[in-house]
Amino acid sequence: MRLKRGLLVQNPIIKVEHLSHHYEMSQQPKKALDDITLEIARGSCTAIIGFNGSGKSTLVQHFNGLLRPTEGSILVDGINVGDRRIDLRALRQRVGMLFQYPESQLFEQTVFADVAFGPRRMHMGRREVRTRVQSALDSVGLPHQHYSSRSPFELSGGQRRRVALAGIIAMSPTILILDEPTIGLDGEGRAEFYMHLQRLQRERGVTVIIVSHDMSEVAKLADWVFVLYQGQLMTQGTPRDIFMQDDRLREWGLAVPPLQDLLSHVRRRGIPAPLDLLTVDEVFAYLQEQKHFFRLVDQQDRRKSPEIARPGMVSDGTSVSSEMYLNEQDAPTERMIALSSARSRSDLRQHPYHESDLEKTLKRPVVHARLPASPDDER
Amino acid sequence: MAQNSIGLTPLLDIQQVTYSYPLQKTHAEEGTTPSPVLRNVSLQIQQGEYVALLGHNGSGKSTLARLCNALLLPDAGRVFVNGQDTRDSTKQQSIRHQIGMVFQNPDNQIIATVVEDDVAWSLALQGFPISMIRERVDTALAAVGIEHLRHMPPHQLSGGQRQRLAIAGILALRPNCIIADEATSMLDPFSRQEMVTLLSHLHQEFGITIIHVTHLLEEVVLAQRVVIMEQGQIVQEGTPATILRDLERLRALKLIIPDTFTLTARLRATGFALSSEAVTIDAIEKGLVGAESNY
Repeated sequence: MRLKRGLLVQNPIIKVEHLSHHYEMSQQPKKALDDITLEIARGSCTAIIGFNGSGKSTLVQHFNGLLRPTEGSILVDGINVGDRRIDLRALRQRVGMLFQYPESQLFEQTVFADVAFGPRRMHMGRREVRTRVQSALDSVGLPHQHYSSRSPFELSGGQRRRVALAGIIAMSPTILILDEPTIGLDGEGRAEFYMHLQRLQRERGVTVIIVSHDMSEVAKLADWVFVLYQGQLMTQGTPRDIFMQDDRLREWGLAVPPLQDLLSHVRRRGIPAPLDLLTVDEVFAYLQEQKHFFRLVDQQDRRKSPEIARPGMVSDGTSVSSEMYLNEQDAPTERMIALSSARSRSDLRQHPYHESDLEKTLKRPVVHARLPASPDDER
Repeated sequence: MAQNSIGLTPLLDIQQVTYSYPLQKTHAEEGTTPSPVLRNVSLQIQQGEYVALLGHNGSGKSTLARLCNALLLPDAGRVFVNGQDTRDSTKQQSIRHQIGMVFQNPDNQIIATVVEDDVAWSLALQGFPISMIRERVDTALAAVGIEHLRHMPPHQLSGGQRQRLAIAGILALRPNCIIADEATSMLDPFSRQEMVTLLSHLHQEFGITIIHVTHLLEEVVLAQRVVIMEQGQIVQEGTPATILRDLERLRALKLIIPDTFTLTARLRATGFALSSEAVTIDAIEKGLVGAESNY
């Protein structure tokens, strides 16, 4: 299965057409990329996901000319990467790449010198270098007044990683490629990294491309996702579209984010939870609205009025306070279990949420970064 | 040596341990950064326990793990392994055989060019007879589920498989205890999940004491006891369910809260009959829908 044509993007910053790449290391050349066609929208945050060996690293290494296509073409911000005569330095200045664990590449004595390394290599004047370094440090949340003269090695892991990011920002790239950007960072480091990344995207209009295994991260940051498997582009869409396809993702060796995993468990039990719930708030709202499907602490109402699951009726608004819960901590009684298992599958089927409402929910308007994918695009 | 309440010698007895890294010690002499990585930490772990050591980067959890098998020695306080003091250099070899350690990057502890040779390596070093080596290698490879890869060169294995190989190498020595020090952090989510399941399996099947050092909350749910570290001290201990009751506190400890835990906390507060013991996806599902099938 393969996308026959790329989805149209209004103003693509990267345009990949029929790209294939073979590594020539073994006697039988392995196709690391197989006829990839895709477009990446300017100013977007795009995620590329796939199991180990799916070709995602090979793909992004084409974006800054670390690799050249064996077949097909790539246009990056107007530069044809396949063309041997292009100025690679100019390309790499426009396309910044943050590798995995980039903090291990810091080597200078001071934070300032490390961030200044790139601009200095570009033969900029001292004043220009200083302006760029200071603004890059400020933009990653390391105010230059405080951090410029410190040693990178006395900073925390999260701060060191942001120093590495600043080193790339100082080159003023239009595209920023991040390989597993928050792997190994703790909760605080991660939240800060996300915050500064989103600000860079917003304020500098940088196009961000993330290669990640962390599906929660993809769900949180990306507005468009490409899925690779064995060198081929399997599908693309918004995170919402992608994480709906739970079974296909598993086939491609990918996990869905934990919330979607939980929902698919719940669906397997016959509860028609909509497929397109993405955030905690959405899942919470759905569960609140459809409380009658689930086991509640206060089961009295339900026992008295078994028709509570009537169409359109929101089940018991009487919420139980958390104190009450804490007191009877762990005990779902036998009766509750009996009650919940007494609901038969046919009840659920008759429930209109299963059909019409479900479809309505699925059609709920979603903010797409570009034209939405239609099923016809895949064959 | 301290005895616990039921009178058994704990496998691990960490008594009021303080530790600073050498560089920090230099700083301390200059009077710049006097704060040690571990400050007066005490912890007992019984034979057969499954303990998760949880904390954000730099909280001291890995340092504590390294004190457990004499890779590091305490500046003050003592660490006893089955009653043997880790500072006693004559006992260190025996201590390291009892307590095996798996690190972040399996490549740092894989030596041989063929999988089964790698598992046999330390046995051969100790001069075990060949028949015994063979038997132990077989058992160890089977226990971690990579017996079909025994003739492969390790570099052709996936990250998860290499991490299993590292564990097999330790299992062959028949340790009392395995410490997994951030052993999942370089793995993809599937292999990570498999690694957690494997540790739990080794605990249940072979009664091996497991100490799983991690900064990921979702990896502690199968443990019997979770010990949380912050700034070189133990700040909280309890079952996974008890520590997960206070998500705000965990967030303050710079831990990443998986969305499923945020959701279940909110559901519980609004009348859903979700037991606080429900910490795995399966258990949450059962808590939401009921234990029995609806069909």
